[in-house]
Amino acid sequence: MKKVKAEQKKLISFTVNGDDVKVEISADTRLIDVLRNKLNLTGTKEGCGIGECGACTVLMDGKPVNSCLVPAFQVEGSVIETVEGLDKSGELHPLQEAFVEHTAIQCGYCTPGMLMSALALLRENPKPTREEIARAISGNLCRCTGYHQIIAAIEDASAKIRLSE
Amino acid sequence: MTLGFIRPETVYEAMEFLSEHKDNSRIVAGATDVMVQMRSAKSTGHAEEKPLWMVDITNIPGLSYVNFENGIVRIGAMTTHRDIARSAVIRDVVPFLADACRSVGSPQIRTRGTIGGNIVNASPAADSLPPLTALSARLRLISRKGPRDVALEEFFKGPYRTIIEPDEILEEVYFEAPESSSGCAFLKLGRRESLAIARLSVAVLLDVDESGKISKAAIAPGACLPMPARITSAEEALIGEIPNEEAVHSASLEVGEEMVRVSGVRWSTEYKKPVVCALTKRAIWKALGVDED
Repeated sequence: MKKVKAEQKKLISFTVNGDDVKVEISADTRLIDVLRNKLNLTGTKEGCGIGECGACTVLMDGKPVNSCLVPAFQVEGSVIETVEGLDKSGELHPLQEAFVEHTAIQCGYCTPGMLMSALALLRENPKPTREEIARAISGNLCRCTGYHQIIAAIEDASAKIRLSE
Repeated sequence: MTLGFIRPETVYEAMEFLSEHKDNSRIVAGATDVMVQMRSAKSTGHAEEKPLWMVDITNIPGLSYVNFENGIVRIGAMTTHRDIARSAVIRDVVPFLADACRSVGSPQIRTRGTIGGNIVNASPAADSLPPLTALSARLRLISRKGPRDVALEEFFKGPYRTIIEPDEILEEVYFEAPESSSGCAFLKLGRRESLAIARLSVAVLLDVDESGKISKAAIAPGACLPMPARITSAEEALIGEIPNEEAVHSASLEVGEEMVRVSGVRWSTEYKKPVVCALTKRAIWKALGVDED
Protein backbone atom coordinates (compact mmCIF):
# COMPACT_ATOMS: atom_id res chain seq x y z
CA MET A 1 0.00 0.00 0.00
CA LYS A 2 1.33 3.43 -0.86
CA LYS A 3 2.01 5.54 2.15
CA VAL A 4 0.84 9.14 2.13
CA LYS A 5 3.57 11.51 3.20
CA ALA A 6 3.38 14.60 5.30
CA GLU A 7 4.33 17.72 3.36
CA GLN A 8 5.22 21.31 4.13
CA LYS A 9 4.88 22.72 0.63
CA LYS A 10 2.91 21.52 -2.32
CA LEU A 11 1.91 22.47 -5.82
CA ILE A 12 -1.87 22.30 -5.89
CA SER A 13 -4.20 22.43 -8.90
CA PHE A 14 -7.74 23.69 -8.91
CA THR A 15 -9.99 25.92 -10.99
CA VAL A 16 -10.77 29.56 -10.35
CA ASN A 17 -13.62 31.13 -12.29
CA GLY A 18 -13.28 28.40 -14.89
CA ASP A 19 -9.50 28.60 -15.36
CA ASP A 20 -7.17 25.79 -14.30
CA VAL A 21 -4.45 27.07 -12.02
CA LYS A 22 -1.43 25.61 -10.25
CA VAL A 23 -0.09 27.30 -7.15
CA GLU A 24 2.61 26.48 -4.65
CA ILE A 25 1.28 26.59 -1.11
CA SER A 26 2.59 26.02 2.40
CA ALA A 27 0.86 24.30 5.27
CA ASP A 28 -0.30 27.61 6.71
CA THR A 29 -1.49 29.19 3.45
CA ARG A 30 -5.19 30.01 3.42
CA LEU A 31 -7.45 30.08 0.39
CA ILE A 32 -7.74 33.87 0.65
CA ASP A 33 -3.92 34.19 0.54
CA VAL A 34 -3.81 32.12 -2.63
CA LEU A 35 -6.51 34.22 -4.27
CA ARG A 36 -5.20 37.62 -3.31
CA ASN A 37 -1.44 37.16 -3.18
CA LYS A 38 -0.69 34.38 -5.66
CA LEU A 39 -3.44 34.88 -8.23
CA ASN A 40 -3.88 38.62 -7.81
CA LEU A 41 -7.65 38.23 -7.40
CA THR A 42 -7.98 41.06 -4.93
CA GLY A 43 -11.75 41.39 -5.30
CA THR A 44 -12.10 39.01 -2.36
CA LYS A 45 -11.59 41.04 0.81
CA GLU A 46 -10.29 40.02 4.20
CA GLY A 47 -12.25 41.48 7.08
CA CYS A 48 -11.95 39.73 10.41
CA GLY A 49 -9.86 36.72 9.39
CA ILE A 50 -11.75 34.47 11.81
CA GLY A 51 -14.96 33.67 9.94
CA GLU A 52 -17.17 36.22 11.61
CA CYS A 53 -17.76 38.81 8.89
CA GLY A 54 -18.11 37.01 5.56
CA ALA A 55 -16.20 39.65 3.55
CA CYS A 56 -13.96 36.88 2.17
CA THR A 57 -16.85 34.67 1.00
CA VAL A 58 -16.18 32.71 -2.19
CA LEU A 59 -17.86 29.63 -3.60
CA MET A 60 -16.06 26.33 -3.18
CA ASP A 61 -17.67 23.57 -5.24
CA GLY A 62 -20.73 25.79 -5.49
CA LYS A 63 -21.17 26.45 -1.78
CA PRO A 64 -20.34 29.63 0.13
CA VAL A 65 -17.26 29.41 2.37
CA ASN A 66 -15.12 31.87 4.31
CA SER A 67 -11.89 31.81 2.32
CA CYS A 68 -9.99 32.91 5.44
CA LEU A 69 -10.89 29.62 7.13
CA VAL A 70 -10.04 27.23 4.31
CA PRO A 71 -6.54 25.77 4.45
CA ALA A 72 -5.14 25.94 0.92
CA PHE A 73 -4.16 22.27 0.98
CA GLN A 74 -7.85 21.40 1.06
CA VAL A 75 -8.47 23.35 -2.16
CA GLU A 76 -6.70 20.78 -4.37
CA GLY A 77 -9.05 19.67 -7.14
CA SER A 78 -11.89 21.97 -6.15
CA VAL A 79 -13.84 24.56 -8.10
CA ILE A 80 -13.52 28.09 -6.73
CA GLU A 81 -15.61 31.05 -7.83
CA THR A 82 -14.83 34.62 -6.83
CA VAL A 83 -16.42 37.98 -7.54
CA GLU A 84 -14.07 38.39 -10.54
CA GLY A 85 -15.97 35.57 -12.26
CA LEU A 86 -19.31 37.34 -12.14
CA ASP A 87 -19.11 39.68 -15.11
CA LYS A 88 -18.88 38.22 -18.58
CA SER A 89 -16.73 40.11 -21.12
CA GLY A 90 -17.32 43.46 -19.49
CA GLU A 91 -21.06 42.93 -18.89
CA LEU A 92 -22.03 43.12 -15.26
CA HIS A 93 -23.88 40.18 -13.77
CA PRO A 94 -27.55 40.99 -13.04
CA LEU A 95 -26.72 40.83 -9.33
CA GLN A 96 -23.97 43.43 -9.77
CA GLU A 97 -26.27 45.65 -11.82
CA ALA A 98 -28.99 45.42 -9.18
CA PHE A 99 -26.50 46.29 -6.42
CA VAL A 100 -25.58 49.44 -8.33
CA GLU A 101 -29.20 50.37 -9.08
CA HIS A 102 -30.33 49.91 -5.50
CA THR A 103 -27.30 51.64 -3.95
CA ALA A 104 -26.64 48.40 -2.14
CA ILE A 105 -23.00 49.45 -1.98
CA GLN A 106 -21.69 52.13 0.30
CA CYS A 107 -18.12 51.54 1.41
CA GLY A 108 -18.11 48.41 -0.73
CA TYR A 109 -15.97 46.22 1.47
CA CYS A 110 -18.67 43.61 2.11
CA THR A 111 -19.95 43.67 -1.48
CA PRO A 112 -17.84 40.89 -3.08
CA GLY A 113 -18.73 38.46 -0.31
CA MET A 114 -22.34 39.58 -0.31
CA LEU A 115 -22.56 38.97 -4.08
CA MET A 116 -21.14 35.47 -3.75
CA SER A 117 -23.59 34.52 -1.01
CA ALA A 118 -26.40 35.93 -3.16
CA LEU A 119 -25.17 33.99 -6.19
CA ALA A 120 -25.17 30.72 -4.24
CA LEU A 121 -28.72 31.45 -3.08
CA LEU A 122 -30.14 32.26 -6.51
CA ARG A 123 -28.65 29.15 -8.08
CA GLU A 124 -30.32 26.98 -5.48
CA ASN A 125 -33.49 28.99 -5.08
CA PRO A 126 -34.24 31.22 -8.10
CA LYS A 127 -37.26 32.81 -6.41
CA PRO A 128 -36.34 33.45 -2.81
CA THR A 129 -38.54 35.31 -0.32
CA ARG A 130 -37.08 38.33 1.48
CA GLU A 131 -36.69 36.13 4.53
CA GLU A 132 -34.76 33.52 2.58
CA ILE A 133 -32.55 36.28 1.18
CA ALA A 134 -31.88 37.65 4.67
CA ARG A 135 -30.98 34.17 5.84
CA ALA A 136 -28.66 33.55 2.87
CA ILE A 137 -26.68 36.71 3.61
CA SER A 138 -26.79 36.25 7.39
CA GLY A 139 -23.10 35.30 7.33
CA ASN A 140 -22.13 38.59 5.66
CA LEU A 141 -21.87 41.67 7.82
CA CYS A 142 -22.52 45.09 6.33
CA ARG A 143 -21.96 48.08 8.58
CA CYS A 144 -23.16 50.74 6.13
CA THR A 145 -26.39 49.91 4.38
CA GLY A 146 -28.61 48.43 7.05
CA TYR A 147 -29.18 45.55 4.61
CA HIS A 148 -32.46 46.78 3.13
CA GLN A 149 -30.94 47.92 -0.16
CA ILE A 150 -28.96 44.69 -0.42
CA ILE A 151 -32.05 42.54 0.10
CA ALA A 152 -34.00 44.66 -2.41
CA ALA A 153 -31.16 44.32 -4.94
CA ILE A 154 -31.05 40.54 -4.62
CA GLU A 155 -34.84 40.34 -4.93
CA ASP A 156 -34.74 42.50 -8.05
CA ALA A 157 -31.87 40.52 -9.56
CA SER A 158 -33.71 37.26 -9.00
CA ALA A 159 -36.71 38.60 -10.93
CA LYS A 160 -34.51 39.87 -13.79
CA ILE A 161 -32.61 36.59 -14.04
CA ARG A 162 -35.89 34.67 -14.18
CA LEU A 163 -37.20 36.97 -16.93
CA SER A 164 -34.08 36.55 -19.03
CA GLU A 165 -34.20 32.75 -18.87
CA MET B 1 7.33 26.31 14.25
CA THR B 2 7.39 23.90 11.38
CA LEU B 3 3.96 23.24 10.09
CA GLY B 4 3.11 20.36 7.81
CA PHE B 5 0.08 18.59 6.52
CA ILE B 6 -0.94 15.17 5.42
CA ARG B 7 -4.03 14.18 3.49
CA PRO B 8 -4.65 10.48 4.12
CA GLU B 9 -7.11 8.75 1.82
CA THR B 10 -8.17 6.01 4.18
CA VAL B 11 -8.96 5.87 7.85
CA TYR B 12 -6.18 3.30 8.19
CA GLU B 13 -3.56 5.73 6.83
CA ALA B 14 -4.79 8.45 9.17
CA MET B 15 -4.66 6.14 12.21
CA GLU B 16 -1.20 4.95 11.20
CA PHE B 17 0.14 8.50 10.99
CA LEU B 18 -1.56 9.56 14.22
CA SER B 19 -0.08 6.65 16.13
CA GLU B 20 3.40 7.60 14.89
CA HIS B 21 3.00 11.31 15.62
CA LYS B 22 0.83 11.25 18.71
CA ASP B 23 2.21 14.32 20.39
CA ASN B 24 2.25 16.71 17.50
CA SER B 25 -0.68 15.97 15.25
CA ARG B 26 -3.91 17.80 14.88
CA ILE B 27 -6.89 16.42 13.00
CA VAL B 28 -8.41 18.90 10.56
CA ALA B 29 -11.85 18.53 8.99
CA GLY B 30 -13.92 21.65 8.28
CA ALA B 31 -11.11 23.73 9.82
CA THR B 32 -13.48 26.43 11.09
CA ASP B 33 -12.15 26.12 14.65
CA VAL B 34 -8.61 24.93 13.84
CA MET B 35 -7.84 27.91 11.56
CA VAL B 36 -8.91 30.40 14.21
CA GLN B 37 -6.97 28.61 16.95
CA MET B 38 -3.81 28.39 14.81
CA ARG B 39 -4.02 32.07 14.04
CA SER B 40 -4.31 33.02 17.70
CA ALA B 41 -1.47 30.62 18.64
CA LYS B 42 0.72 32.39 16.09
CA SER B 43 -0.15 35.90 17.17
CA THR B 44 0.36 35.23 20.87
CA GLY B 45 3.72 33.61 20.17
CA HIS B 46 2.74 30.45 21.98
CA ALA B 47 3.59 28.34 19.00
CA GLU B 48 5.46 25.20 19.91
CA GLU B 49 8.99 24.36 18.85
CA LYS B 50 8.05 20.96 17.55
CA PRO B 51 6.70 20.49 14.07
CA LEU B 52 2.94 20.33 14.00
CA TRP B 53 1.28 18.01 11.54
CA MET B 54 -2.22 18.77 10.41
CA VAL B 55 -3.94 15.51 9.55
CA ASP B 56 -6.60 16.48 7.04
CA ILE B 57 -9.34 13.85 7.02
CA THR B 58 -11.49 15.49 4.33
CA ASN B 59 -10.02 13.22 1.64
CA ILE B 60 -11.23 10.10 3.44
CA PRO B 61 -14.48 8.94 1.88
CA GLY B 62 -17.33 7.50 3.90
CA LEU B 63 -17.25 9.65 7.03
CA SER B 64 -20.17 11.86 6.04
CA TYR B 65 -23.59 10.26 6.37
CA VAL B 66 -26.88 10.16 8.24
CA ASN B 67 -28.24 6.63 8.65
CA PHE B 68 -31.42 5.52 10.36
CA GLU B 69 -31.70 1.78 10.88
CA ASN B 70 -33.29 -0.37 13.57
CA GLY B 71 -34.24 2.67 15.58
CA ILE B 72 -30.67 4.01 15.74
CA VAL B 73 -29.62 7.26 14.06
CA ARG B 74 -25.94 7.34 13.09
CA ILE B 75 -24.20 10.51 11.93
CA GLY B 76 -20.72 10.34 10.41
CA ALA B 77 -18.24 12.67 12.12
CA MET B 78 -17.52 14.50 8.86
CA THR B 79 -21.17 15.40 8.24
CA THR B 80 -21.48 19.16 7.99
CA HIS B 81 -23.97 21.26 9.94
CA ARG B 82 -25.49 22.20 6.59
CA ASP B 83 -26.13 18.57 5.69
CA ILE B 84 -27.53 17.72 9.12
CA ALA B 85 -29.84 20.73 9.11
CA ARG B 86 -31.12 19.65 5.68
CA SER B 87 -31.30 15.90 6.39
CA ALA B 88 -34.85 14.58 6.02
CA VAL B 89 -34.17 11.95 8.71
CA ILE B 90 -32.85 14.46 11.24
CA ARG B 91 -35.65 16.94 10.56
CA ASP B 92 -38.23 14.22 10.93
CA VAL B 93 -36.85 12.16 13.83
CA VAL B 94 -34.96 14.75 15.92
CA PRO B 95 -35.92 18.20 14.61
CA PHE B 96 -34.23 19.94 17.56
CA LEU B 97 -30.86 18.66 16.33
CA ALA B 98 -31.61 20.10 12.89
CA ASP B 99 -32.51 23.42 14.56
CA ALA B 100 -29.29 23.39 16.58
CA CYS B 101 -27.12 22.70 13.54
CA ARG B 102 -29.02 25.35 11.59
CA SER B 103 -28.13 27.88 14.31
CA VAL B 104 -24.37 27.31 14.06
CA GLY B 105 -22.38 30.36 12.91
CA SER B 106 -23.41 31.32 9.40
CA PRO B 107 -24.18 29.59 6.09
CA GLN B 108 -20.45 29.73 5.31
CA ILE B 109 -19.50 28.07 8.62
CA ARG B 110 -22.23 25.44 8.27
CA THR B 111 -20.98 24.54 4.80
CA ARG B 112 -17.62 23.57 6.25
CA GLY B 113 -18.00 22.88 9.97
CA THR B 114 -18.70 19.27 10.94
CA ILE B 115 -20.57 17.69 13.80
CA GLY B 116 -17.46 15.69 14.70
CA GLY B 117 -15.47 18.90 14.98
CA ASN B 118 -18.19 20.51 17.07
CA ILE B 119 -18.05 17.57 19.50
CA VAL B 120 -14.27 17.17 19.71
CA ASN B 121 -13.60 20.91 19.99
CA ALA B 122 -15.70 20.67 23.16
CA SER B 123 -16.71 24.30 23.42
CA PRO B 124 -19.21 24.76 26.28
CA ALA B 125 -21.24 26.82 23.80
CA ALA B 126 -21.25 24.22 21.00
CA ASP B 127 -24.74 24.20 19.49
CA SER B 128 -25.00 20.50 18.65
CA LEU B 129 -24.12 19.34 22.15
CA PRO B 130 -27.33 20.12 24.11
CA PRO B 131 -29.58 18.08 21.78
CA LEU B 132 -27.02 15.26 21.54
CA THR B 133 -26.78 15.24 25.34
CA ALA B 134 -30.56 15.16 25.70
CA LEU B 135 -30.56 12.19 23.31
CA SER B 136 -27.93 10.37 25.44
CA ALA B 137 -25.82 10.09 22.31
CA ARG B 138 -22.78 7.84 22.15
CA LEU B 139 -19.54 8.26 20.24
CA ARG B 140 -17.47 5.76 18.35
CA LEU B 141 -13.74 6.44 18.49
CA ILE B 142 -11.33 4.49 16.35
CA SER B 143 -7.58 3.98 16.47
CA ARG B 144 -5.08 1.29 15.54
CA LYS B 145 -5.89 -0.35 18.85
CA GLY B 146 -9.47 -0.82 17.69
CA PRO B 147 -12.76 0.98 18.22
CA ARG B 148 -14.24 2.07 21.51
CA ASP B 149 -17.63 3.51 22.28
CA VAL B 150 -18.19 6.14 24.95
CA ALA B 151 -21.23 7.98 26.19
CA LEU B 152 -21.20 11.63 25.13
CA GLU B 153 -21.59 12.73 28.74
CA GLU B 154 -18.43 10.84 29.69
CA PHE B 155 -16.45 12.26 26.78
CA PHE B 156 -15.85 15.71 28.24
CA LYS B 157 -13.35 16.62 30.96
CA GLY B 158 -13.97 20.36 30.96
CA PRO B 159 -14.18 23.29 28.57
CA TYR B 160 -12.30 22.34 25.37
CA ARG B 161 -11.01 19.15 27.03
CA THR B 162 -12.08 15.60 26.24
CA ILE B 163 -10.90 12.05 26.87
CA ILE B 164 -10.02 11.44 23.21
CA GLU B 165 -6.52 10.01 22.83
CA PRO B 166 -4.13 11.75 20.42
CA ASP B 167 -4.17 8.72 18.12
CA GLU B 168 -7.95 8.39 18.04
CA ILE B 169 -10.41 9.62 15.43
CA LEU B 170 -14.07 10.27 16.10
CA GLU B 171 -15.87 8.14 13.54
CA GLU B 172 -19.54 8.71 14.34
CA VAL B 173 -22.09 9.87 16.85
CA TYR B 174 -25.20 7.75 17.31
CA PHE B 175 -28.34 7.66 19.41
CA GLU B 176 -31.65 5.90 19.75
CA ALA B 177 -34.43 7.67 17.90
CA PRO B 178 -36.97 9.02 20.39
CA GLU B 179 -40.51 7.60 20.41
CA SER B 180 -42.67 9.10 17.70
CA SER B 181 -44.97 10.42 20.46
CA SER B 182 -42.16 12.56 21.91
CA GLY B 183 -41.56 16.24 21.38
CA CYS B 184 -38.35 18.22 21.39
CA ALA B 185 -37.09 21.79 21.24
CA PHE B 186 -33.80 23.66 21.02
CA LEU B 187 -33.69 27.34 21.85
CA LYS B 188 -30.63 29.52 21.64
CA LEU B 189 -29.93 33.02 22.73
CA GLY B 190 -27.04 34.86 21.11
CA ARG B 191 -26.10 38.53 20.89
CA ARG B 192 -27.62 38.56 17.43
CA GLU B 193 -29.46 36.11 15.19
CA SER B 194 -26.53 34.96 13.10
CA LEU B 195 -22.79 34.72 13.55
CA ALA B 196 -23.29 34.62 17.28
CA ILE B 197 -21.94 32.17 19.77
CA ALA B 198 -24.66 30.92 22.11
CA ARG B 199 -24.81 32.93 25.30
CA LEU B 200 -27.36 30.45 26.56
CA SER B 201 -29.17 27.57 24.96
CA VAL B 202 -31.32 24.67 26.03
CA ALA B 203 -32.44 21.39 24.52
CA VAL B 204 -35.54 19.62 25.78
CA LEU B 205 -36.83 16.16 24.86
CA LEU B 206 -40.13 15.00 26.40
CA ASP B 207 -42.51 12.11 26.05
CA VAL B 208 -46.12 12.14 27.20
CA ASP B 209 -47.87 8.82 27.87
CA GLU B 210 -51.45 7.85 27.06
CA SER B 211 -52.77 9.26 30.32
CA GLY B 212 -51.34 12.64 29.38
CA LYS B 213 -48.53 12.54 31.92
CA ILE B 214 -44.93 13.35 31.11
CA SER B 215 -43.22 9.95 31.10
CA LYS B 216 -39.74 10.85 29.92
CA ALA B 217 -37.80 14.09 30.13
CA ALA B 218 -34.31 15.13 29.13
CA ILE B 219 -33.16 18.71 29.67
CA ALA B 220 -29.69 19.81 28.62
CA PRO B 221 -28.70 23.48 28.73
CA GLY B 222 -25.77 24.84 26.75
CA ALA B 223 -23.20 27.60 27.22
CA CYS B 224 -23.77 27.84 30.97
CA LEU B 225 -22.03 24.70 32.19
CA PRO B 226 -18.34 23.76 31.77
CA MET B 227 -19.43 20.72 29.80
CA PRO B 228 -22.67 19.26 28.53
CA ALA B 229 -24.92 17.65 31.13
CA ARG B 230 -28.54 16.81 31.74
CA ILE B 231 -30.25 18.44 34.67
CA THR B 232 -31.89 15.48 36.38
CA SER B 233 -33.53 17.56 39.12
CA ALA B 234 -35.33 19.55 36.43
CA GLU B 235 -36.34 16.39 34.61
CA GLU B 236 -37.72 14.91 37.85
CA ALA B 237 -39.85 18.00 38.38
CA LEU B 238 -41.68 17.13 35.15
CA ILE B 239 -41.93 13.36 35.19
CA GLY B 240 -45.34 12.07 36.23
CA GLU B 241 -46.96 15.48 35.81
CA ILE B 242 -49.72 16.38 33.45
CA PRO B 243 -48.15 19.46 31.84
CA ASN B 244 -48.92 22.46 34.02
CA GLU B 245 -47.44 25.90 34.59
CA GLU B 246 -46.24 25.12 38.11
CA ALA B 247 -44.29 21.99 37.19
CA VAL B 248 -42.74 23.71 34.18
CA HIS B 249 -41.80 26.65 36.38
CA SER B 250 -40.10 24.52 39.02
CA ALA B 251 -38.24 22.52 36.36
CA SER B 252 -36.94 25.77 34.90
CA LEU B 253 -35.84 26.99 38.34
CA GLU B 254 -33.83 23.78 38.79
CA VAL B 255 -31.89 24.56 35.62
CA GLY B 256 -31.03 28.03 36.93
CA GLU B 257 -30.01 26.64 40.34
CA GLU B 258 -27.84 23.97 38.77
CA MET B 259 -26.11 26.52 36.55
CA VAL B 260 -25.15 28.59 39.60
CA ARG B 261 -24.16 25.48 41.58
CA VAL B 262 -21.82 24.21 38.87
CA SER B 263 -20.52 27.41 37.29
CA GLY B 264 -20.59 29.65 40.37
CA VAL B 265 -21.88 33.17 40.75
CA ARG B 266 -20.42 35.37 38.03
CA TRP B 267 -20.88 38.97 36.97
CA SER B 268 -23.41 37.72 34.44
CA THR B 269 -25.44 35.56 36.84
CA GLU B 270 -27.94 38.29 37.63
CA TYR B 271 -28.88 38.27 33.96
CA LYS B 272 -28.27 34.67 33.05
CA LYS B 273 -30.19 32.96 35.84
CA PRO B 274 -33.64 34.36 35.08
CA VAL B 275 -32.96 34.14 31.37
CA VAL B 276 -31.96 30.47 31.41
CA CYS B 277 -35.14 29.79 33.42
CA ALA B 278 -37.27 31.64 30.87
CA LEU B 279 -35.54 29.89 27.98
CA THR B 280 -36.08 26.49 29.63
CA LYS B 281 -39.76 27.23 30.20
CA ARG B 282 -40.25 28.20 26.59
CA ALA B 283 -38.38 25.13 25.39
CA ILE B 284 -40.47 22.81 27.57
CA TRP B 285 -43.72 24.27 26.26
CA LYS B 286 -42.41 24.13 22.72
CA ALA B 287 -41.47 20.47 23.17
CA LEU B 288 -45.01 19.89 24.44
CA GLY B 289 -46.33 21.46 21.27
CA VAL B 290 -47.49 24.67 22.90
CA ASP B 291 -46.07 27.82 21.36
CA GLU B 292 -45.95 30.39 24.14
CA ASP B 293 -45.36 33.40 21.95
